[in-house]
Amino acid sequence: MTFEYKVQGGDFTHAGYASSQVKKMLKQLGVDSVVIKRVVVCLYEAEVNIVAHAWDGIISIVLDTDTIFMKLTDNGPGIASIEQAMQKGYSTASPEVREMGFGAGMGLPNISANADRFIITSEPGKGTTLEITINLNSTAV
Amino acid sequence: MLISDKQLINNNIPFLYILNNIFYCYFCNTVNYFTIILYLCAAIIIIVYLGNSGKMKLEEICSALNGTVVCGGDKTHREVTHAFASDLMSDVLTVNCNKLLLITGLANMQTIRTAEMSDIECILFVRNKSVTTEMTNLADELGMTLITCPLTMFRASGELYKAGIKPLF
Repeated sequence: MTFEYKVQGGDFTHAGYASSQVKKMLKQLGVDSVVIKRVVVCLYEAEVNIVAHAWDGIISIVLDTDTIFMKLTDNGPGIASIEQAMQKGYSTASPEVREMGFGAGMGLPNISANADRFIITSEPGKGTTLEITINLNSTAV
Repeated sequence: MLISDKQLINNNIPFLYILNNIFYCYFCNTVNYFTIILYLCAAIIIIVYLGNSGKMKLEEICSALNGTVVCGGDKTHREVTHAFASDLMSDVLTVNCNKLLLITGLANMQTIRTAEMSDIECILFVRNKSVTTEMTNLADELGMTLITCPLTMFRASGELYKAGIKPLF
């Protein structure tokens, strides 16, 4: 199964809609609740990152019997140093984003901690792509 | 008297000897069925008390903190055992616990979304934060209970801790 969601930068009112839909779908499919939690934490953090930092983005979900693959591609300022961005506590978020309860430099480390496979690529001035894979039959992080 | 100490010692039954001493009644200087029943009742009361301590119904939380239920009033019979206080949603996303109460001063749509992703069914908003209709609509849809209270986060956390609600770590 393949799904696609559009995400608008700066739209905090609807941020999390895609994650919510994916959570409902995985619940209906009877996926283990621990795995669902890991999937939605990864997806929600990544979705909020697009809303917080980029102009717009696309979330593609590919679901098969064993894995869920999530690809988030955004048009935005990109990340100058991925190594730095992966450190806990490092953030370039604006005060507005921090007021929403995010931007404390926990997003990417949270994704990395919950994903079975996590690839991040970025081109400064163009955008960032996150590829997250989670095995549906394993609860181990 | 059920059995004498002497008999027990003579018959070399230390376990029964210990039991005999446990159920010994110091008022009537004997061991009898009444003492045994009395002690068993006391043990049951203690077990029931310990079983109930450390969890609170949402309606109890509401009255303890002078709070108001703004949404999900039909689910206030739900119990919570743990609480996590934070205004930082990324921190909330790292926790993993059932029957968890989120205490926060951050009142926006992302608070509700974060609770949804973390399987949190009840949010306590401190410092009299106002909850918007959009928030209550989403919380209703997700089956959540939202409570507001006038206390500070520190005070609300302290009161709940005093009442037996456990921290996560």
